[in-house]
Amino acid sequence: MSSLLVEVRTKMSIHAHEKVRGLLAGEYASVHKGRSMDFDDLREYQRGDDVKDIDWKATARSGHVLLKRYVAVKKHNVLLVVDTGRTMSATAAGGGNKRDVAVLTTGVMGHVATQHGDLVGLACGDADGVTYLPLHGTSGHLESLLQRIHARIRTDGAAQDLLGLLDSVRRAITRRMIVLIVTDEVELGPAHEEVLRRLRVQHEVLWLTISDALLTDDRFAGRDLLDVDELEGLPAALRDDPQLRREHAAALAAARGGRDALLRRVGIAAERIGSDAEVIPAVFRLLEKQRAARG
Amino acid sequence: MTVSILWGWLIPVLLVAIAAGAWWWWRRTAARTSADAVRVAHSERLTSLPRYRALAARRRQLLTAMTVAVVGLAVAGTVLLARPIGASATEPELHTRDIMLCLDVSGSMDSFNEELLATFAELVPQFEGERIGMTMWDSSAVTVFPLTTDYAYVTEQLTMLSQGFAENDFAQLRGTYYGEGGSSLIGDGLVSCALRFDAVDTDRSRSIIMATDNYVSGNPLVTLPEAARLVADRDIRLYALNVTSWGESDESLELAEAAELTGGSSYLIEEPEEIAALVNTIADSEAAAFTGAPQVLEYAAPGVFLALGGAGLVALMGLAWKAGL
Repeated sequence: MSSLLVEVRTKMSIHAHEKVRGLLAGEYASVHKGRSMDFDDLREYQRGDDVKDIDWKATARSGHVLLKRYVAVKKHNVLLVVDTGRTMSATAAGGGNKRDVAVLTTGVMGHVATQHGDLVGLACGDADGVTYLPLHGTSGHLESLLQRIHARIRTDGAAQDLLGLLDSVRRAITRRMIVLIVTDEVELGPAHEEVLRRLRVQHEVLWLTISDALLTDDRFAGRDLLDVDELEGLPAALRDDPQLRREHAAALAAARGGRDALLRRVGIAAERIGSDAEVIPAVFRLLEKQRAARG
Repeated sequence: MTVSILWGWLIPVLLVAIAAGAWWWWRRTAARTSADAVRVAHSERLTSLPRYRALAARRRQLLTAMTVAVVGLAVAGTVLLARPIGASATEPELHTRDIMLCLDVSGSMDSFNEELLATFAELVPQFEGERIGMTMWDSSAVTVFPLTTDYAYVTEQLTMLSQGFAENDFAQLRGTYYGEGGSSLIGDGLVSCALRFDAVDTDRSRSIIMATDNYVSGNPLVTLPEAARLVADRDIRLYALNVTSWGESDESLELAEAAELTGGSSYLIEEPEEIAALVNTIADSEAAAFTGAPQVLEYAAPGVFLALGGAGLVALMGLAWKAGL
């Protein structure tokens, strides 16, 4: 099996220039509070960096805005919480597979984290239960996490159980962590809200939604759609109906609005991703939101 | 009318073949569908919409109707291929009837013959397949026309002869007064008529309508009773039109006996006007006598199944159009 991490890096370089990747790293770094006082070196300022870290003297000397870098004494823990229910094996809004988008998303986040020197772990789960992989900072470990996610999301996999996964994480993880939740356009109810509220108290929670394909999309005109949950076809002829399309769009908008409102209420920064190309901008925006929220 | 199936074994064979074909097609389509289908999730956001349910219900009805139409078409087609046949009893006897007009053309008969021929000429158009022949005789017999179904010719001949009698055209009687036996040789004449039936070994209804006054004035080779026996032996009925002005004479009785011997009958005619009614009576009685043993006729009877198949096809096309296929 080819390396998923290599694939992630390749896609990162395709979808984001060097500079943008640097920005991403900056955004990631600034999310953390608490830095050691051990000075490491200087680097050029990038958007998103904390203004407090600017070395004004060095900046004046060099003519570039330079930033002090410190050795991180405390390694941060990043827990990737990935929904591996079989709905994650379906088609994403951009036409690709949601699993591949999820792998890329977690890969980007994990890659940035390991580059930063942090530890990355995994909690993935569905109706079959939740599996934990320990925290490590090596890219080899990240690779094995991605492989696990990739292998577990299957069309014939277990049903989705996001609430079970979140509840398990809330109970199992007591150390403060950065928790990145990757799921799809699941319906969120009061039970989810309660679990997320508690999770939010313990951890820094980030949320990425891999958006589902629009069922009435013209891209699928004349093609058979098969729901991974019900294994029941959605006849192509039915999906052309204009009234149905309007009603469906309204229903989707309502669902998204409800989900966004819920996440906002519990104070979780969230972004939506529909395709590989949207991963890096979305992660970037997410980190920016998180930093802004923390002030 | 009862409908039966000629190749009954074909129905189960075809139905099994159709079912197997449908099963194979369904399997293949299902396999291809699941392989090609776009996998999606959370489709309940679409399927739970009232509009979707309404559309799905309509589609289901449409598919059900199409299934019914296809099954109807398959069943009708199968049965049609197995050749449904109907059977009916027919009475084809009428069409194997031979009638020989046997005319005594001795001088005393002229006015009657004119009427008789005119009546027959009117009767001919009612015939359907019966063969008519005509022989006339005095001392010797002449075939005017042999047994034929060429009714136009028959009518023409009868009309012409009838006119000839009216105009005393003796030329048309040429050949009927030949030999030295005398004239009005009734027995000879009857035998001559009887011998003019062809295809004697086939099973046909044969009758002679003989008009005579039964006044012999010569030495016939065969007497009337002898001739009647020959006619009876050949299974020919003799209907005698006894033209007489003497009532129940010996001659009349002899003629009646002769006719009865063959299973026919004799009618006394005193005035030419009576002939029309008599000829009709004879024709009717002949018809009644020979609508005998009904024959079973088998014929293709696809009607119901053709209608079913057609209805199925039309319904299928209509539904397919409605389904937007």
